[in-house]
Amino acid sequence: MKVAVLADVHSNLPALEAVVEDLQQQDVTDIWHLGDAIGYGAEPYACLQLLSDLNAELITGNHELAVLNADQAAGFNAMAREAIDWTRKTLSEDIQSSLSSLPLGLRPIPGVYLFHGLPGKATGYLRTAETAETVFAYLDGQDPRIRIAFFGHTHRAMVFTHLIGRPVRRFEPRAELILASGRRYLINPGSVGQPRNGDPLAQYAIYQPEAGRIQFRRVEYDVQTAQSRIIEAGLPPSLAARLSQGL
Amino acid sequence: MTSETPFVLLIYHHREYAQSLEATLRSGGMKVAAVQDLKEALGQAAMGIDVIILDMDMPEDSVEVCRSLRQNTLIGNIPILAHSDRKLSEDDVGMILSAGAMDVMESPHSPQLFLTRVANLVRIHTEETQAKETEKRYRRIFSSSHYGYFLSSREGRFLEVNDALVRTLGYASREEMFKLKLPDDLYVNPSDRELLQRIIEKQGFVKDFKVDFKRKDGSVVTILLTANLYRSLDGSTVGYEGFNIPLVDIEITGPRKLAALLLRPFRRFLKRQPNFLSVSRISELIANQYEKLEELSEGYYTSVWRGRDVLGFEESPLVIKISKSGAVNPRLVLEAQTLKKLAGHPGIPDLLDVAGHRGRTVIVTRYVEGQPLSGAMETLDVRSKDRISFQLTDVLAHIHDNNVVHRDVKPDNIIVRSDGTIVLLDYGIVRHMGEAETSATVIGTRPYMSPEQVNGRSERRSDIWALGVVLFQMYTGKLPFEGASEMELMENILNKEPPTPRTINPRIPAQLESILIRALRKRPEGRFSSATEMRDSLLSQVPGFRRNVLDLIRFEEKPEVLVP
Repeated sequence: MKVAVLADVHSNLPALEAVVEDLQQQDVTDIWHLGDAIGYGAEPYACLQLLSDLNAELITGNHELAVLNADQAAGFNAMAREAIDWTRKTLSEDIQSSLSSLPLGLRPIPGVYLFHGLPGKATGYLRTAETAETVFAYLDGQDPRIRIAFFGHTHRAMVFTHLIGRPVRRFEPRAELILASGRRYLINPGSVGQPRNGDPLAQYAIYQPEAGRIQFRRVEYDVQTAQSRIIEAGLPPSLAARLSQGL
Repeated sequence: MTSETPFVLLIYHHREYAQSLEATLRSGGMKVAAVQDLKEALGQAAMGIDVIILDMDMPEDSVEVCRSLRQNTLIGNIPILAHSDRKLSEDDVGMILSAGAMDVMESPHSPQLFLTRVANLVRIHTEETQAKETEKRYRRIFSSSHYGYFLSSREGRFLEVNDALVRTLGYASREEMFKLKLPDDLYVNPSDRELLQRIIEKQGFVKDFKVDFKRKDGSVVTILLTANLYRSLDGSTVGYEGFNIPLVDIEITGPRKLAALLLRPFRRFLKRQPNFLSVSRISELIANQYEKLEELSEGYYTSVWRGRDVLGFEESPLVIKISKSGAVNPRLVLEAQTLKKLAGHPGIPDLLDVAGHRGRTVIVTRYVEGQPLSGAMETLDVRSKDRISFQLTDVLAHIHDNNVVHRDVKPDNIIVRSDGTIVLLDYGIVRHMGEAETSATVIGTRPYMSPEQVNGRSERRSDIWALGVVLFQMYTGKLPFEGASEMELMENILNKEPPTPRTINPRIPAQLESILIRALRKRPEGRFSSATEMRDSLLSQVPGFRRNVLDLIRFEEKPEVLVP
């Protein structure tokens, strides 16, 4: 089994296509997407379609929730709200109804959990070791077999890891993470469609459960095309601008 | 792994650094081997290392050494403690943890803290290894189970499935099943899952819920599903855990074809039922395996059903006897022990299984096709009667030889097959003799009770009496003792002599008459001392008897009987 773990595509089709091309060269067998396939970008339908064609496991992110229920967009900034209103108008009711059936969390294989922001709360942020400690305890209570959880929402590749009796460690991953048995991990693979770690490349991870290895990959894509489609769609120009800076 | 004395492999660059760590480790009772590079370290791989301590200042880049160690097939599982004698940056820590180190430690620290950390890694590693072994063992149990096992989430995903379920549903692997989105990918009627969920959430479980599942190839398999709420450690509901029994998916080959035939009407029956809840009541499986079909009898203590093994292990119809309360369980256990002890004689029912069902004991025997002697008696010819007499004395002889008293010999308990062979049923009130030769309880069925049973005692020769009554009734068409009331019947059994059989049926041979009268002597001492003696008297004294039963005499008895 070789899994491509994607998060936060955010309607950026050129980025998603580049990632899909890359993961196909890696002989990936499964794709998991950690929520926020839509919002911000110009091609929500095409992104959902491509993920669905690839038989990807999807969970719900806060942008999916906001498309389905405008109240959920209450905490959004003006740009994000404008984009989500646009997305809601763009997606057919059928698509919206299929989004409504996506789970908040998922255990795709034993020992692994997927969530978007925080477990059970797509709008929460997992940024600090303190929050991570709470999440580790929560997951342990839910199912002690969970050793790895993948999450998104922050748009930054990040690893939190915990060994019994020791503090939670937090670090930005390098190209590869070799998992140590006995440690637990919360892993953000970075964002495909709107990275915010200062690196404009599309980011995702490849997880090999049997080998206990995770590769963090960064893929070049046609940022200009993604930007011009955002402008053409009449979405806020700053959503286009941030893509070239990875912010 | 040597958990008592941990063996530590120390990979170091500076000698003084190594010497101080080594001294600390040895002072903590650990064995230490120290090496200076990766190549040397791999040379130690076969030594049974429990933990590796890796100096963070290796000239060949400690992160690379760590990665190489973890990727080595021999040594890759051993936990690594990265150790530095200088302060590490967050970046350094991230690098070494990314390379697969289990823990990181930096100086300064007390020797005691260092030892604690090392011991901690050994302990965690041991526990992980044991947990994996346990999981493997459980996986083996679940894998080899004939039943489909699953754990599914509320949201509708399998969290765990066993091989039996993977096979039943025709998938290639467990992983493939984890991708199924329930209910749509599995349930023929997706609304079944909602109903199932509602029931489980309400009452905590669901039992024998009949449901149709789609297999991978699109074909349909009918399942009896039993499941519980599955709770996490914090008590919240995570999902559902349970077993599936495929009802129409039993693989049938060769000799199991009969099972297919037996199951066919049952399948049709299930298909006809529009409401599976009513089916679940009707077809509740006993001990997850046996289907009750028809109630044969119901007593104070047990109910007895004709049934079948839905799993197809047993092809023939079964008798399922279920205790009515836990208090009766010991009786059924005794009955099962008796049957096991008596097994092998053609007149004894075949015990197939002893099981538990909702706290009640269940014994399963092979169903005997035939007619009770009570119903068959009147139509029998002399040859058939002789054959039955011989078999009854023979099976009682076998029972007594095993120190068992049946205590309830009566025509209702004797099944005559169409070929004339018999089986003596009902070992529910047997008594195992040994310590005392008699037992003191009024037990048995009235017209067949001996005087001593009326007085609350029974022994082997009480069975001879009962057999005498049965044979008397069979040959004459009348009971030897009757009464308008129970009191009168008891009185007659105790005090009145039975009528002479030949006055009722003059065609009865005189020798048979005297055997019947001897079996019905009031004092046990006056009767045959054993069923064997009674059988041999019938064979040797009654004209024509031996000729009528010759083919029934089993080989081991022939010399004894045939040699004058």
